[in-house]
Amino acid sequence: MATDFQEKQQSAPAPPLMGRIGNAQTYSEVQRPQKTLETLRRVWFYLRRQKISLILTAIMVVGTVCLDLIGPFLLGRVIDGHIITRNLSGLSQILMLMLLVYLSSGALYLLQSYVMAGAAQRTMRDLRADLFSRLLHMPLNFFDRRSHGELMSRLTSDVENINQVLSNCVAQIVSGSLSTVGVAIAMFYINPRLAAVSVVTISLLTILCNRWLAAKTRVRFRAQQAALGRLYGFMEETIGVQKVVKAYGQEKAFTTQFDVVNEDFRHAGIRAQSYSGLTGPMMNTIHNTAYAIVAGVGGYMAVFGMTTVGDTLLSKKGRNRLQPATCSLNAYRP
Amino acid sequence: MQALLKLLQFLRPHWRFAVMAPVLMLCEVVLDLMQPRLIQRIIDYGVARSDTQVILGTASLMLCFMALAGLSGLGCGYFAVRAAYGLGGDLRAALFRKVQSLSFGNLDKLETGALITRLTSDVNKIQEMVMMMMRGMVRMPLLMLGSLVMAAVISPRLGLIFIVILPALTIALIMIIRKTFPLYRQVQEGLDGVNTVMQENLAGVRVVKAFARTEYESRRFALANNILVQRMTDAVRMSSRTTPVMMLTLNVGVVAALWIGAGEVQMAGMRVGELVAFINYLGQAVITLMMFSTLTIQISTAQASAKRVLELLESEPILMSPGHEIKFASRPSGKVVFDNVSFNYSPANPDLVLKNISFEAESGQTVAILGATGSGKSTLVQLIPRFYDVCQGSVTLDGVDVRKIPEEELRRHVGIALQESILFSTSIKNNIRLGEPDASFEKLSTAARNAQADEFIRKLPDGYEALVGQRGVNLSGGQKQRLAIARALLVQPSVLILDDSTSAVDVRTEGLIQDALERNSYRQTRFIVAQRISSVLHADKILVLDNGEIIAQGTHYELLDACEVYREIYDSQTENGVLTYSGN
Repeated sequence: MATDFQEKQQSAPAPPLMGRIGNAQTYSEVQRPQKTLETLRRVWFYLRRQKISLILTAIMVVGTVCLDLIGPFLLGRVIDGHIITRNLSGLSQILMLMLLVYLSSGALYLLQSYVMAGAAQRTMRDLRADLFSRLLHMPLNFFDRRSHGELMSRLTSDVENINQVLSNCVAQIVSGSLSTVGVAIAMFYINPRLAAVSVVTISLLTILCNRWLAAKTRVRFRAQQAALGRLYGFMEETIGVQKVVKAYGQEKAFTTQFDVVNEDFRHAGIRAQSYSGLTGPMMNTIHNTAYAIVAGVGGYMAVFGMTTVGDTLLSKKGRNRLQPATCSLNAYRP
Repeated sequence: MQALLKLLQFLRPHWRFAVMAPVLMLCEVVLDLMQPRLIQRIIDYGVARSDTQVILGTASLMLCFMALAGLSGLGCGYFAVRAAYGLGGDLRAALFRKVQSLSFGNLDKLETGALITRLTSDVNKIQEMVMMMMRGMVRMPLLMLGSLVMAAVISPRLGLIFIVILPALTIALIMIIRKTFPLYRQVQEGLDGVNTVMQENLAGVRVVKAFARTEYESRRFALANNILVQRMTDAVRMSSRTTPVMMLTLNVGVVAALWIGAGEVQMAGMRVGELVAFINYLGQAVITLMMFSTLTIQISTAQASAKRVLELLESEPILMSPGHEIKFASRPSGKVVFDNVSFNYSPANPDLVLKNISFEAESGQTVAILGATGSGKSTLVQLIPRFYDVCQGSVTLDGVDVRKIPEEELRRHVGIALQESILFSTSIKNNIRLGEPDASFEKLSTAARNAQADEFIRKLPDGYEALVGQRGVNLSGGQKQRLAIARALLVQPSVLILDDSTSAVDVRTEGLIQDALERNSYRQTRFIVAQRISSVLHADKILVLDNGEIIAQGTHYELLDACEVYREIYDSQTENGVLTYSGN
């Protein structure tokens, strides 16, 4: 497998694996949207060696998703069947069942992240080892054309970025999409009309906002990255040879130059960050707007006997589940 | 926390933004807290009484509130960015200025890589942290407190659940974090291990390849890699316990609320909507607590960055310019005198690098310094432009102690081509003009001609405008050295120091450079540090250095007669009386 990979790599002029994946450590949002899926696709090559762990994780993810659906369902039953009707018989049994569901869901989740952590880290090990051995086999002029700093940053921070994606996203995306589907099915099963309202509001608002935001953000982030590159390049060069700067008494001249690049970066950064900073509050607003709409429509329907308070609550809970899943999926959409 | 707080003084010029952000966040939190209450209104007064008017009215009110909350959130985000980036930029500028003011002794101690990290990723971490704190430090405690109060208002009895759940979760989180921290420290060490192997292999890639050490290095790397993976796995497993623990706590709380609430609804006339609102507040409080714990962890990692940045900000230049500063009225003649100089890089170390060095270099003389590697040749010449201060004795230029001359003034008159020829990634022209950025082209090309660099520069595609460095032309070691010499010649210093800067230049070219220097129109004292005897033959004075001491000084012929070490060096570099190239 490894050799096959290396051959593929060598034919390419610039090895794709060594391509920058984005400086997530410092600018987490910068290139994520475009690159995460691409990164995942490449990492899949290594990830698929961990077959058993992956299958185990998948089974457990399905389990947790199911349990997570049963929890709110029972909650709805309790509200509608016992609290509103003020009927306490059988309440303790159903509550015990809820506890049991939550307990096993937690345990399963724990186990799942335990297995996944091992798989992810073993994948990282293989990736790092391959990278290193490839590095040793690169022709010498490869090293002449690149500074040590540049190579080191690829080998360390970029690998770290992949690690972040792997550890955080894989299980999340899988369980996120699974539970979204599950929640949607459950919601439609319980009350199709209310479900339709939830799903439509959320998808519509999310898509609209994302379209608008993504376009605005991308341009600004590119500008910020460019300014950052200039700033870091300048600092690395100047500070790297500080002794020459001092020997020729050029401290003031370099400080003046620095101020220009630093200011540029600050402006580009503020422009980019204030747009990407919109994402959080915007998602919050979508979340809350949908909350209000579902509450309004649900309440209205409840009055006319088209739904119950418990079901509305469940829709709300379901919508809560939908929210993070759509959020994360959206973040990864190219 | 202390270091981070100290750095917050950089917020002062941006205080307007730093105040606006939390204020707007406060608005958002209050509006957010209203939400569950409004839902309750829909359930209890709308649905329960079948009043569609109330339902629609309340839902619209909710929409308004949400829009307002959204706007406040946006505003808060914007101001937080302004404040944090303002702080980041100012901090970077302060650090850069500090680095410019440091002396060589500081720079040796701080090492370049670490310095750059402080200005780049450390400042960045602090900047991100300030941004997050400005949002989270206000939002989270407020949201938590608000939820608690609202829940207690609904039902004091149910509120007791908070009092059990929140401390229990806090303790559980603290326990997990306590265990996670040392694990992540170990991860950092493992990461350093992997990075070290990588760095060494990158730096020494030629040696690794030449000596076929690839397999050995791969095994070494695999070892470091395995250690890192084991530690990383442990750390991730430990820290991923937080989510299930939190979810479980929250759900247990919900079940308890339902259990107690069912009784309350039946007996005490609590409304269903109130119970639902209570559950919402509970969820909000628990999730906020969870986020708060993540924020705390992040703050403590930023703390390490803050400490490093602060350390640099607070370091004082080792060379302090003295009170009465002397400026030369005219160009100094270039007479340099070392009077009983002893020197040591660190005062704590009793082994002296230079011992009792005394000699005079008359104006216009060429002084060569010869000696084995590590004998202190470079150190000696670096005392002249005052890269370091002597520990004992004195170095004078035209009779003035160099410690009394401001650094800038001194270095205008002392030009040095360093051992390592360092080029900036800009044009060749700008590299040579470093000491005098507005030098005329004539001056530039004269310097280049004298350094025997003009010829090869003109052959480059863009001549003097050609870019050097990673994206520019590839220059040989000898060519780089000649550019460095041209750079030193351009400023026409009274004292010129060539610190082993012709080592990669062939003997013939070296001779041409020396001839050109002899024909100079201006008076100049020259110091030539060399390992090759051919470089020093014509010097007016040769100092033979051994283990930090001058063991002999004189002209070539005097030393051939009087100094055995010199004769040995001479013999080793000549064959049948002819100088060879192998001096290095």
